[in-house]
Amino acid sequence: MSPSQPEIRGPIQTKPQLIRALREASEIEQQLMVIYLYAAFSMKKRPDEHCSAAQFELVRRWGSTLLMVARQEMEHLALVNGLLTALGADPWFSRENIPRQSRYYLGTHLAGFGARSGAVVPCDIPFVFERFNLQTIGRFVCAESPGYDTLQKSGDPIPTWCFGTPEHPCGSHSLANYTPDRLAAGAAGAAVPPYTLARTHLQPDKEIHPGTIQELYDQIQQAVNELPDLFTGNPNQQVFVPVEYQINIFPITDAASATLALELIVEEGEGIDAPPGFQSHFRRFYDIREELAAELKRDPHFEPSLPLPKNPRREAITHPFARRTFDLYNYSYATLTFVLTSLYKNFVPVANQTYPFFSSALQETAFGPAMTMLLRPIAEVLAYTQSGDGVHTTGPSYHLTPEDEKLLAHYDPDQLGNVDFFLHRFAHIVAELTALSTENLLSVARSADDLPYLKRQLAFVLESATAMSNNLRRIYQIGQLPQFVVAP
Amino acid sequence: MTYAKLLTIQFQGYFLCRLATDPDPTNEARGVSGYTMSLLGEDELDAVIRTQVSPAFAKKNLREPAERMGIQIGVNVTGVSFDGDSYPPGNALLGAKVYLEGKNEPFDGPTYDSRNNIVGSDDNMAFVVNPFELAIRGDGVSIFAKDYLNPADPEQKIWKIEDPALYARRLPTAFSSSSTEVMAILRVFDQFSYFRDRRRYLTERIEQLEKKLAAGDPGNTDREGIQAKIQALKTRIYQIEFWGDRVSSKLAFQLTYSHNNNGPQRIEGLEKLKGQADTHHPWPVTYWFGGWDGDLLTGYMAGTLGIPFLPA
Repeated sequence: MSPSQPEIRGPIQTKPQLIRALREASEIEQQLMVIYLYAAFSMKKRPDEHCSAAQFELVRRWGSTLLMVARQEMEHLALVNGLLTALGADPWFSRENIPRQSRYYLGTHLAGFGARSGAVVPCDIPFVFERFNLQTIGRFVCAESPGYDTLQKSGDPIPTWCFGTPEHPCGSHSLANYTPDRLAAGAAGAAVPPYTLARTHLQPDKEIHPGTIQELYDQIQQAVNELPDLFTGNPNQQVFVPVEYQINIFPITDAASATLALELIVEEGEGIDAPPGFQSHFRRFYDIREELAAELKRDPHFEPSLPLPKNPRREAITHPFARRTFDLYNYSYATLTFVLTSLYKNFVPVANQTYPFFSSALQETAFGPAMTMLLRPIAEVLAYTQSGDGVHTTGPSYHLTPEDEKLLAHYDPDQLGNVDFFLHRFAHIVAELTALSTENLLSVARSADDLPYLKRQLAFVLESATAMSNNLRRIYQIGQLPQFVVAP
Repeated sequence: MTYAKLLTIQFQGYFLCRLATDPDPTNEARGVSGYTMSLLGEDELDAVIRTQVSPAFAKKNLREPAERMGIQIGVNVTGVSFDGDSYPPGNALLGAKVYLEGKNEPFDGPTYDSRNNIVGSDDNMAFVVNPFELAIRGDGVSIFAKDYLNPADPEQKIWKIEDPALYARRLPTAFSSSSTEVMAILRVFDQFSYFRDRRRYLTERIEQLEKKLAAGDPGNTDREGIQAKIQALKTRIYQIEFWGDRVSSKLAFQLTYSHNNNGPQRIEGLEKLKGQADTHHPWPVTYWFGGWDGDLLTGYMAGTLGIPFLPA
């Protein structure tokens, strides 16, 4: 070791280990994002008999906040991928499907980090898709909560439902799927997670163990400070998005910018080292849960969300229209992950581009239209579509097929590096939307009142997908379109 | 007949636009994640640019305290000149109402069209005005000018247009994020204070309504209405605070458009203007939108329409 190089004290000793740790972080950020989106898209779009006009105002303020937090998880995902690119590594938009029990949200791991308060133990926090309700927002609070001891020291409110005691074991609020047996086991400190344990990219036999999210980011930060010759990626390959919509995606080219990104991630989430009064995800979710609990106490019949199922499964959707729309959403979402993977792999600043304008074509698809004009409207159609079981509507499972995961994990320039791959995907999306638009929606609508809404949504998303497909091709040919250029 | 010199009609005034904003989809009816929302008792969001509204529409959709601030929706002719000089016969048009007509289906009028970065951008308010059908209706004189996005296929929808150059000419040609012209018209030179005052006003209104609730029971239905009104006012405060600069900065925005109309043009009651007009060659039109108040959903518009003209 040269005298100028710091000693490597952290558990991450090598660059490949750091890359694996970042993949770990990337998966968790994306998983958090999609479970937040699922809950947000389940929220009612207008008042009804169980949601008065006054309550609806609460619902959409909560929806606004929830979607903002989901956007910031997207930002975290983007920053982690910026860091990967800065290291000269491939981006990582792959992840495991949900439901899943993340190793970073196991009570035993959480206890090892932030809650050494004797009888108080943190609860497991599974990644599950569940509509917006008290349990769901309670679980989100736990996912973003600092440790028990940190909360005590900071004076922040303590979300008691995130922690178990001998008198009040885990699971009573946040883990609806726990059986009494599992609860009993949890109270005894030997819980069996009800969901499949998530994979890890780390190598446990090399003295790296999954801990908590904060530990993971602390370890990454330490590695950024200590490991030599890290930033070998092309500094001009850093995806940059102007500060908008409470998200900040900036270039990462060195240890300083990497540190800024890592600090931003933990500050926004748990409020670590944030200024007084800072509205972290934890505080925002905590406040929403308090408001919801108060409103439910006042009006026990209040229902802020539509009857979306917990952890939607394709097999459980029996209505052909709903199933086809469900498949289309997942296909469209996978397409977006491919677009992002390719963008991070092939990014070129606009000023440096010449034909083919592949980077611009991908960027103008990913940021903006794909999220707000394609995915969200389809999810909203699903939320108002009967699944066929007589009880539920449905929502997307964000399912990635094994083929999708393979494509995301191993960059193939013949596919993700080829505009035709994306044009074919969009052609399929347009064809499916065209077919769905001709279906008789009366049989799938929750009520006849919803029919105009469903028709309008489908027609609009078809128009948008058609235009996006056209833009993808045209931008590839001629570069950035005039509407994206801000005239002086 | 072709004339080089123009009869220039100037117009300006407040407009109202119930615009859904990014990151809401642009057809969002109520508003969730954007900074604009349709509130209790109002119509749904529709992005329609309304340069004139009926008293009933204003009562339903023009939010307090717009009227107390002197905001009256209405774009009107404010001046007429010929070749840069005064032209007294043009006074027949003074005060005439200016309309943007046509429909961007399924909306019930012309809209700001962006589709969140598909054909325009909400970030810099670079919207296509779709369709563009300008109508001026005064006492005995009516003027109409239409511009097609695609003159080769006038019925083509914007989302079907494959060559963006076709609608690029209908995007803003200039953009100022801190227009002194706009600030002077609105008489607002500090956007932060403007919206701080708005929050204070809304807070006071909430307090008044809460006192009303506490004072007695005006009947269950009325109580529910007041509670909903209080929550709607809280939503307005939430949006101003939550979005901060994204709302306040747009107050000083100015987006300038300029194009030659390629569609039908006509004047009815030309005799009142005492001259002859060329309706066969494109009429140049320049206009700007600005002063966008994302809480009130109002903005300011000004522009000129040039008509090749020969005085009698």
